[in-house]
Amino acid sequence: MPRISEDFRQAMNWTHTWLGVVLGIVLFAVFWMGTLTIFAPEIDRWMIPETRIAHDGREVSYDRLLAQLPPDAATSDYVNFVVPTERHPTIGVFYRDSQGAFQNLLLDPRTGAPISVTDSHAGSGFIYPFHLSLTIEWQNLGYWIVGLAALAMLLLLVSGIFVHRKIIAELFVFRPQRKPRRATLDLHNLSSLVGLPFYILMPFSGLLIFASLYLPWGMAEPFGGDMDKAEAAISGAYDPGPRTGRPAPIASLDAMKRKAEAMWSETEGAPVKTNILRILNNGDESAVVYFRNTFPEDRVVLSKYVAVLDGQSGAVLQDFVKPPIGEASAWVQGAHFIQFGHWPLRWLYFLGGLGGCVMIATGNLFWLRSREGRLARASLGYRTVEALTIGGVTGIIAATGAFFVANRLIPADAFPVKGARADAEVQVFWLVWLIAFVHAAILRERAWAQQAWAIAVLAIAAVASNAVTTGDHIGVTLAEGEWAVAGMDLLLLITAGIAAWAAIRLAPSPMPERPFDPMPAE
Amino acid sequence: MNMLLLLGAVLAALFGCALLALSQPRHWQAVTRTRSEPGRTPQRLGWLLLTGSIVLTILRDGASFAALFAPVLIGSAVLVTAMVLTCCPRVLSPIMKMIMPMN
Amino acid sequence: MAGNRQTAGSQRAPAGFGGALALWRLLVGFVGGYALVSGFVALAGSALPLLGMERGEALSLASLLALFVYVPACLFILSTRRPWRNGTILLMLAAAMIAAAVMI
Repeated sequence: MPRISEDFRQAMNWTHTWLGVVLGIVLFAVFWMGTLTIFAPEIDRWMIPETRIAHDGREVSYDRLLAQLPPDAATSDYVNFVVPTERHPTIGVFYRDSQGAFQNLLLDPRTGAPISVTDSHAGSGFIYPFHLSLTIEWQNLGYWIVGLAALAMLLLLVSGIFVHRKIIAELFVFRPQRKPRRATLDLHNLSSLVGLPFYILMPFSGLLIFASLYLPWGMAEPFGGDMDKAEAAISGAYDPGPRTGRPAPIASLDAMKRKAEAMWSETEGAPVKTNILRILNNGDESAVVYFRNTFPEDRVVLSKYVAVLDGQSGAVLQDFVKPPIGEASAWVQGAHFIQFGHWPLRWLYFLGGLGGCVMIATGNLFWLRSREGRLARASLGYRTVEALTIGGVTGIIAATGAFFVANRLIPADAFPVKGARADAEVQVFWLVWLIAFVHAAILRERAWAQQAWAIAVLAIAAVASNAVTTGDHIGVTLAEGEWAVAGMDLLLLITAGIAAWAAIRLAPSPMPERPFDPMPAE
Repeated sequence: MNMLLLLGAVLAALFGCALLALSQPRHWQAVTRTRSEPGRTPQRLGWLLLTGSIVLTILRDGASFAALFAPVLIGSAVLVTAMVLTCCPRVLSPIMKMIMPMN
Repeated sequence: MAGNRQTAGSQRAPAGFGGALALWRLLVGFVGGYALVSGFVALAGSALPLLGMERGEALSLASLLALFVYVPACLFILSTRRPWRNGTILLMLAAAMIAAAVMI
């Protein structure tokens, strides 16, 4: 490392400390939910038991499905099918109803009939949106908060390398038996460095995915301020124009799908499958069918091919293939989505996500521990950071556990404060999280152990309530190879074990007041 | 075949990181319980194994996946090594004995 | 140097990070940096096609490079010894890029 001036190091230290303290808890929430999002489809299986269907890989006829759809969906001008996969065994349908509102349906791949499912936002409908936007929809505020946190994360990583200058030399060092402050710092450094490429890639690719949301002016300006044109050039978005008003039946979707896939496979030199099949201006003479290979199984690059075919003649109206730089960008974005079929990598991402959580939590803890034993401990600033750290770390994990338990225990006809049953689960999450902050503010460091116990109890309760309400206890799911549900239950049990162990370790012991001795954050 | 390549990549990453840790006097002395110096061998062999691990991940999945897989795999191997060095550094002594004659 | 040793966790802000100066650094770094990166993406997306690059590709490239502009710009303003002067330069550069992008 080149010699750097003391001024520069101090500036980096100031940046690292304050960005970390102010945005650390937002970052933790985003990282935690992002880590869970890796397994969002499995969480969906667990929370919506009706979709625990074995994927048998059979060919689905979309002509037959379209004919079978409920009238409201079949006559909709926008019908979108999501092709079933191993991890999403049901066929997703997304359509615009006669009132103009978007509706979701899940179809049984064996019969094509809509499945009546537990009304839950589950992983894809709550945990995933929370990761992107904290589910604060107003004026896209949540997206901007998460975007700011992602930018801050990049700044924190770069400044951290300068602050913790011995980080490379002490790569393999972890000294838990040392003073808590030293051990916290070791763990902060270790968890930061082992995942550094991953931690840089995640905020970078996350921001890139939402480039047109975060830079609305800059991204549209080269296209004369028209974002639709920019999207069309970058991702092959297609506008079918207005409806003509002359009704016309749609030609065979299956034939069109074969045609699009054959066209792609020839270009790629390997089989390429479609994930998305979307009818625009359905039922009209101007109808078109849009195909996209959003999430290929066997490559990182996503949405490389988009084909649009005429709804009557099946003629190719658009054959979009990502050009080289667009493909490079799609690789970076695909690296964030990880929808490809690579289980070892998926598990390492999960570990990386948890490592990020450890890095952020220990960063905040180190800030607190550097101030222990001082008058500052009684200050409003210290107490705020303390409550935010406890509530933000153990609190959000407990709230997630409560979300799972609520999913299994809230009756189908529950009358929540506002909205549907699915919203009641989310309200439980927010309520428990809020309580965790208040609890932490009142009890201070004693709250750590109590919240860790709460996590352990909630995780066990989630496993038990799944077994009782669905009958799919671990014995059954393991024997039947129902890996999504078995994996979720096993991870919950492991979580309970770790939380209980941590609770015992964290139980407050009479702590002697130590005189403060300053320690450089190297 | 895929499984073998994966196993090879994981083992090469683990042993590579263990050797790189041993190349630092602090850990070498903790494992050997002596005040001797590690010499150049652990470092060279460690880098060789890490390179080998990357090559195996490329052979298994192609460069596109390996660019994601290798960094997280090696990072995890560093973590495992650090944990082993923390709880029971003597676990690494067979590796140390293997490379001693090469010094 | 010894008397200058800053510890992580010290509450006194280092020199150059007093009230107004810290606020200026944060504002110029984040908001000015945002204007700079908007201008950069718009300018690259508008100007590269003049050199024969496809417009969509130019925009993809610009969005890939955006954070390589934003993050260093932010860190530079947060650490520079001459925040007033360099901050003003950054703001002027951002304005110039935005103006150039609009004109092309």
